[in-house]
Amino acid sequence: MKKLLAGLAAAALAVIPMTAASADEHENTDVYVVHAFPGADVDVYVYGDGDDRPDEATLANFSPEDVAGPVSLPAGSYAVDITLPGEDDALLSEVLDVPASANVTVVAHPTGDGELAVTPFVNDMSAVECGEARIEVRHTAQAPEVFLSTGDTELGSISLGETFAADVAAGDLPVTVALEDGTELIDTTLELGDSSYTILHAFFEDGELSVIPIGLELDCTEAPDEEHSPGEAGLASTALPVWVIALMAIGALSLAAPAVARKRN
Amino acid sequence: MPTRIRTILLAIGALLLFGTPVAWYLAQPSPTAGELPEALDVRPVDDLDDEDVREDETDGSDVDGDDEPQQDPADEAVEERSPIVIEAAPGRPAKPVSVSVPSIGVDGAEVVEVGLDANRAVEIPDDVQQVGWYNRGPRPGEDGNAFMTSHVDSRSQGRGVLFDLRRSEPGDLIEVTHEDGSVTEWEVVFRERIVKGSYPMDRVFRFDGPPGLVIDTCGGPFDPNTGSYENIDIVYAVPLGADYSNVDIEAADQSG
Repeated sequence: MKKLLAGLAAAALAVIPMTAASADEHENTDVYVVHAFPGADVDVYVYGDGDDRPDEATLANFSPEDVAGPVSLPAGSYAVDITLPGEDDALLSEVLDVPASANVTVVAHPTGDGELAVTPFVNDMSAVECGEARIEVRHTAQAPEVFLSTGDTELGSISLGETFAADVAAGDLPVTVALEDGTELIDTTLELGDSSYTILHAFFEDGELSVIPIGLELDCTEAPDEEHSPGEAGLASTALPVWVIALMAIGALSLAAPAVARKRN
Repeated sequence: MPTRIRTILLAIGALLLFGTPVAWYLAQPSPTAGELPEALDVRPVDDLDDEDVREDETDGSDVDGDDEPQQDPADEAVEERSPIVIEAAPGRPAKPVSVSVPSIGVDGAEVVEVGLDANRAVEIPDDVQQVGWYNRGPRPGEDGNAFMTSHVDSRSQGRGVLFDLRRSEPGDLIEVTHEDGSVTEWEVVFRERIVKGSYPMDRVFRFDGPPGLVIDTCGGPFDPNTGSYENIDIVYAVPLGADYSNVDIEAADQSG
């Protein structure tokens, strides 16, 4: 659990030059970057595809287990270059097509062969039911398929590059991550706040599997139990209003007047 | 008294006595107007066909991250990199900040967020010029009904901004401005007057199925003894141009 929070605390904010199309802000996509490749600090350059790589790295000396973001990016194609700190040669050079109005985490992680790769994951920001929390586990480690369970309940299995997500009751959630033969790699209890969204990225280093967390907040939905009462003064009343009654009274007097007048005569 | 004056008095008297209530009555809007599409008159289950739904909010793991990188590791030349395409469902519409209903004189009324009060009923803004949007339900444009409410009036502030809600008719335009500056357009399809105590909770607080917009305020006769209205007027709207008449509701028939 300590490690869970350490990753989050290490989050650094990145400033990415807005060279892509100038879209309205509401169409921007929030992007997080996670470093899940063990053993190497790197510089990360993010810039408009087709532009020259800027001199300054977007994320300099980005360390394993670091999380950066969110950065708000207009939709478009971005070049992503990853180098060793201060060096020019790219370890990895990719183009990322970022969609509009989404929420994305880009993870730098090892492939099954230990090569550097980047994989984008979409963060599901839709509302949960009040009293629930969303939990998501992403397999981004150079490790075999793992099996997730809570207590005696199996949740599912994920292989490298895959993700598992579920909405669960808020509160303490015991989670076990194991290999197919039952070897437990992680056995922990997550504290899930109401309407929280906990995303765990698997990280494997020195023979030990851990996770790099991102914690987000979601909206929640619930229906009211009681009905509301929107009004208090009676100005909009559909009952016969006083002025109608007054006019009717005047009318009645008018009708009565001639008769009264005749009587007096 | 001359006959002529007597005749005039009689005519005026009859006109006022009988004409006033008739004229007043005829000027009142009917308690209900229009028809709620059948597809909106239920509480749909999750697997309702979402084909017509603009904001396709999925609720789980499906959309997430099986976007395998389409990279070519052997591509040393770097010239022909195929991009990694991130496929995401459309994001959530932004929260509403103002609402206009031109036909009943609502012109850019401020929308504020409301939640639940101590009785777990929807909060209503104290300021009768504001409209409360229920933030524990859908945003306008998301699946289900976005819900807004406001006091019809107040002893200290007079008429509320939704004072004439009871006069809105099917076909009326509603414009919602969102936090990001975008505007969504809605069309009133149904107005109903319900008796307090029998509020259609399931119909209004519908969090699945086709997007709708529901606005209500107090209505009907006012009881000075209790200091409250006897009814609530509820207006249902759908996205402008949306046709929900053919929405498949078989999956939803079991509830209601």
